[in-house]
Amino acid sequence: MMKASFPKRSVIHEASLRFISVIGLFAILLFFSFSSEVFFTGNNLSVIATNCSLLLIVTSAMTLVIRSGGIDLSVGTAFDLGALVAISIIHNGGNTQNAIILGILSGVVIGLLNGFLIVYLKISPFLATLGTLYIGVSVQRILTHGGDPIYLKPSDTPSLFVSFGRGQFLGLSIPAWISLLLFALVFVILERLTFGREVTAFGMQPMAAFVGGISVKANLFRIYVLSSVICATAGVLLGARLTAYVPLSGDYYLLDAIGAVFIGTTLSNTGRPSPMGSLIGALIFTVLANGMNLLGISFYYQGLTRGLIIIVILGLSVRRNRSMSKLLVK
Amino acid sequence: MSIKNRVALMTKSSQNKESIKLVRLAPYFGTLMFGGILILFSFTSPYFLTFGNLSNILLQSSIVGVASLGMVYVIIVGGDDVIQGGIDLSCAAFIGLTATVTAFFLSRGHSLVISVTLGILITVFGGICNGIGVVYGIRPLLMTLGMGAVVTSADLIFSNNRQILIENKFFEWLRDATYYGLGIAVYIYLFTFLILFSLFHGTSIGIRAYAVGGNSTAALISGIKTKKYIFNSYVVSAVCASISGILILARLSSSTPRAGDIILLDVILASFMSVIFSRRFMPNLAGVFVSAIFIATLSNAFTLLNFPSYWTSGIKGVIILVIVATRSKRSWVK
Repeated sequence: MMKASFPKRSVIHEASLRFISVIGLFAILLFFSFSSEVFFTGNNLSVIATNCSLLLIVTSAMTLVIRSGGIDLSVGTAFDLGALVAISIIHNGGNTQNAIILGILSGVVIGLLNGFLIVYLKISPFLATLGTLYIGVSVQRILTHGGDPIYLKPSDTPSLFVSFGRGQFLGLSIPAWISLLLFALVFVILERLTFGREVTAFGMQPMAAFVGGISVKANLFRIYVLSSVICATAGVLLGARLTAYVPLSGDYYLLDAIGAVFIGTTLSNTGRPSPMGSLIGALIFTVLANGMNLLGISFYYQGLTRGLIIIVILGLSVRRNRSMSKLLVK
Repeated sequence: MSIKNRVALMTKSSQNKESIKLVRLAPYFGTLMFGGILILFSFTSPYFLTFGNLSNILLQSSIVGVASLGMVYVIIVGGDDVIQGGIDLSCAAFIGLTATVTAFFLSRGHSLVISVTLGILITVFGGICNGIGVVYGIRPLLMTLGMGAVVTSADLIFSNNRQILIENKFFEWLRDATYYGLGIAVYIYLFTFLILFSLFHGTSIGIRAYAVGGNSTAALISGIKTKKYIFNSYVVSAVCASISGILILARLSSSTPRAGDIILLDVILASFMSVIFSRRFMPNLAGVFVSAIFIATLSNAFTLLNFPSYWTSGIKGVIILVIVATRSKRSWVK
């Protein structure tokens, strides 16, 4: 039998590996603030906050679901449904409150469908939400006659609705504030409430959670409904910002959200997704995109940089997890 | 429900009378469903069951099918857990990259052999990077996600985000020639399947791959070089994706940037759907071979029935959910 041995690393070395995603974010910030004069101005930072808002909302939703041991590929579907409902209500002369509230609540439909498929039909979350995604794509094509965007005339759009997407409050845009609010909500749910603990327990050890008396079905249902509602909110925000509904625009956020959540898992000892980590992941993506646009880098090369940075951050974090797992095995 | 009841439920779940009946039927469910759908469609459209149409379905399934064969290998070796297990999201980008690079060199006047070799080699290099990353310890989902971004970028750089037209005798032959009524792509699909299938089930590779996917620690302790298997699976997936890329290039006679993106979901679907054609609900090569044809059949039949094209993905989604729901006896409370 081998003796248990702790990895011989200094505290600083250990911490630097643990917080590699934070260090990465700061390195990126530092690099851009030196290479571009406009980058570190208040104006640009508030632009970053606005650009980050939608991704942060979707990422928060994804954090909830991944924490429960599943995955939600239909975030884009809920997102688009929210935008579609809100924009069509305004388009048909409805008032702003109805548009926003019904747009957000339309996410419940997607959430209930996912919950039903996963909890009652016991389909694996990946395939169930993939099915929802397929259906969502089709429904959007049918409703928009093959994919025509719906544009609102500036004269017909209530100013309240426009300000929901473009308004400013205390130096930040309304979407940025809402994204922070939803982020805080997810943080409180996962880190402070019993519900969050139960979900975490289920995500890590489904059998143990079930035997331990957690009502798994109800919790999973809530998670998927919550995730879809949060994503629908993001959809309404995008609709209000563009004053238009562009079909299938939500799917753009799917892979980024998954990437951001998993970059965030490097913060945890056990590789568990956390809201804080997801925030950092979402910021890394947004800051990179913003900085590269400021430097005028062609979008051909942006994917290259993003991909390499994901791989480097995760690769470095592996070094630490390795030493942890060795510790556990021995 | 008290905790005692829960434990009791857990231990006797397999002795449930009702489940025994269903479990007996379940292995054949995928096949029955496929057969049922074929019969249904043959009643609704007179053209469906003609030889010409069936060979057309096979041709349509070949591009997705070849890529899915590689993908399922990754899933088998990595385990079919979606988040922790093996998956190759970069496969779509690889398909696009092979097509673009090959077309790029062909249009610059290089010879056919050099162009195709370069197209495949650059993709295999990507696969090797995937393999190294995953063996090093990065989660497959993320490694291949990052690689997908890098490769898509490379695709844009090579193609300059433009379509590249090609005129080449070989690619025309690949597109048009038929033997015994079947296109070359079908033979390539069949050939790839037979090679992989015989390697997998004719040698010990298959059973070892399943062992690595099932419990990699146990596999390692019993003397299987797990890392080698994981690494190889990503290379195989890249090779399959590059064959798919060549097929797509021949089919379109041009390379469109990001041509592979549209078929990524179909590839993933075919790979995961293979479980319904298996007795033990495991992803398997033969199941993938059938699944890809199944998916192509659905698209083809909807076209014949004059469904508007934008209904197709929704109906596909519903049918797949129905199939997967009826077979899923493997509950989430394991």
